[in-house]
Amino acid sequence: MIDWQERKIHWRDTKWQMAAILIPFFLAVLVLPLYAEVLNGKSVFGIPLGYFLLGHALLTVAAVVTAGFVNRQDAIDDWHGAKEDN
Amino acid sequence: MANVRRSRFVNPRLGVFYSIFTSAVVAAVCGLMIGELMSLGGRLIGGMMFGVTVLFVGLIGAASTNNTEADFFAGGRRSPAFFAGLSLTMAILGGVGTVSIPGVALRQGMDSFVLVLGWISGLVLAAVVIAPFIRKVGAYTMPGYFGIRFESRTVRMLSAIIAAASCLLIAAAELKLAAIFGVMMTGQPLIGLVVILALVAGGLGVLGGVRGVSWMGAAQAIIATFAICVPATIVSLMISNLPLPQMTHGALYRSSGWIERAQVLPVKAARLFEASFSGPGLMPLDTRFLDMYHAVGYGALPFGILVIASGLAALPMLAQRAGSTPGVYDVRKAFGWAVLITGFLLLTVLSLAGFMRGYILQQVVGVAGDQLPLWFQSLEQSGAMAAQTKTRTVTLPDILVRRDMAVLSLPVAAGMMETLVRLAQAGALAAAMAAAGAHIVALGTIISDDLVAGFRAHSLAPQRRIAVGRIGIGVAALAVAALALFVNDPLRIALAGITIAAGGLFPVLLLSILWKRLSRAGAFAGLLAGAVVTVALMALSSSGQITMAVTMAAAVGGPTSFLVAAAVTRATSKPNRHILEIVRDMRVPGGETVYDRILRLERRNKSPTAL
Repeated sequence: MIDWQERKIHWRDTKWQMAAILIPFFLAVLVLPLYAEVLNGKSVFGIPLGYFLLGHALLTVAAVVTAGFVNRQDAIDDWHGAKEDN
Repeated sequence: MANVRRSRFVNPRLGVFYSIFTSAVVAAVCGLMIGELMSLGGRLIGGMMFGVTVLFVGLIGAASTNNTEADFFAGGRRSPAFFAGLSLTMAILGGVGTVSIPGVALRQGMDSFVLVLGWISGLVLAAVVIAPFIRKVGAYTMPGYFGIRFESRTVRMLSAIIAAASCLLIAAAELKLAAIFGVMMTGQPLIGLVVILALVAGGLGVLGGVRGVSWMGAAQAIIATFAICVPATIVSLMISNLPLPQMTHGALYRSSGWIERAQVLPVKAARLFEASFSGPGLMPLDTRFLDMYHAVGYGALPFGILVIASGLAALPMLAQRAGSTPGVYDVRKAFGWAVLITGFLLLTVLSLAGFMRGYILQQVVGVAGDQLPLWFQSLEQSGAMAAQTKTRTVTLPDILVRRDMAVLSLPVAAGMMETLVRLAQAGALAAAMAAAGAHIVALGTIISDDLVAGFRAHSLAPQRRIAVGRIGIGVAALAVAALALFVNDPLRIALAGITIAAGGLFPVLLLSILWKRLSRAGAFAGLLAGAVVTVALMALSSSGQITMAVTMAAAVGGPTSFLVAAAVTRATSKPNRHILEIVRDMRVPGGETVYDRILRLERRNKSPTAL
């Protein structure tokens, strides 16, 4: 079980991890739609690029980002002795 | 400190059970296809598909009947990550995500991405910032979490009222959608189906509680996924020889774009904060798919995504689902699975919209009004679509589509067997029932555990608590059924419920996790301010006194809640040491769940707690 002194460091690392996951993701989600219509003039795999980025790319990024978060946060918990027992 | 071994609780035969269930569903569909080839009527097939969907899921719900507190209110805390994620996906997506969102995509094109991106962002937000901490606290409801976090019955009561309003609206919207799909399948009156489906959802919720809806949700997700993917994959094979509808439908937008550009379509540009989603009635296809910002403004799109994301992350139902996993690591994985499966399903339903639009553009537009294809005439008779002209050549704006029935019409347009047409409807029914059931149970436990029993100084004895919970779920089902009868636009009502959660609950929920200084008074003031501003703006918008989209109300209410909570917290005393210890404890995944420890000590000492 986590030491008292480790809790602050664990929470600091957890907060940075959250920010590192959420800020780039939400930036992409909020900024990409501004350019999607213009990008639709090009295509990738036959799909209009703007549609591909908003649909396929962002949905894939969401899954990858969440999976990355699960693994990274587990590693942080393990490093600081905050992990649940198996 | 009691540490729990996760592996001991999870049923090792779950995979086998659900494999048998999936096989049974496939076998039932194959049986109906054989029956259709042997001249079984379309209405009978629809009725049998409806019965199979309700019966198979109902059997699982009935088998989940339980009589222990942990099972009834927290699913036994033994739903493994994959199945919890599967169940969560369908509870989040529901009929709105499965049918209404692609319906909006079919009619309004890429402006529908405010809904798509809002939905997936909400799950990511919940996975990272909300669910792990809610799970560690382990309260049975979202208001229960607030009660523990702030050691305040007042905060708990207020959050329960806001959460109940949100759950009621979303549950009513989903139940109405389920009844609409039931009418498509059986031809029975809408009112009767609302009542029957409410009784089914409420009855199974009364028997199994959270455990029941979790296992039923996984089953409903299997049915819905199968039912959505089969027609999409068949059409993808028909047009491209590839079984990947998610990748093949995009090319249709380019090829159909020439036909769209040849149409004379009105030039529309939405105002900055306008967000008008198409209504449920027959409305024309008068926009080009790849054009954006004709129904949703440049300002409304990012705010709309943020409102929907924060509203979904703060859904009261989510707290229950988070609590049903064995531990914090499992809840993170469960949400990870939910993001993956939701993303896959959203792409698949968008492909349904794309294929349907392709069929309309290539086989209906440019055809004489009295020589429309047979499949279109069939859809006209069922009320899913219509052509405004029968004399001249049909143009794109002449075609009217009904939002919540359009994408379910794809198997008809593709000339598939009646069984597959009914299968698509069954999938939509399963999805809507999953969401309705989840929100009915959440509402019922809020009514019983927070609004009724929450006044008490200490929690009820386990059996009495379960009994009150069953009554609460029954009352919730009746309330939801009564409201569902008056729902005209399910998407709008569901968005209203999400908006209330976004403006009223999310700001204080987020601050309660990230800011341990947040005081009881600050939380109360933040909840009250956010809810009042959001609901007031929604009411003014609905009555036409102000021009504002429903979702934009939380774009004002949410920041108001943040500011008021922060200001009042600064002006009041710091939280006491016990609350600070709870906050520190909930940030660490290891160790006993906070609420389980509170209950254990309370029942051992029989001492009151300030909950």
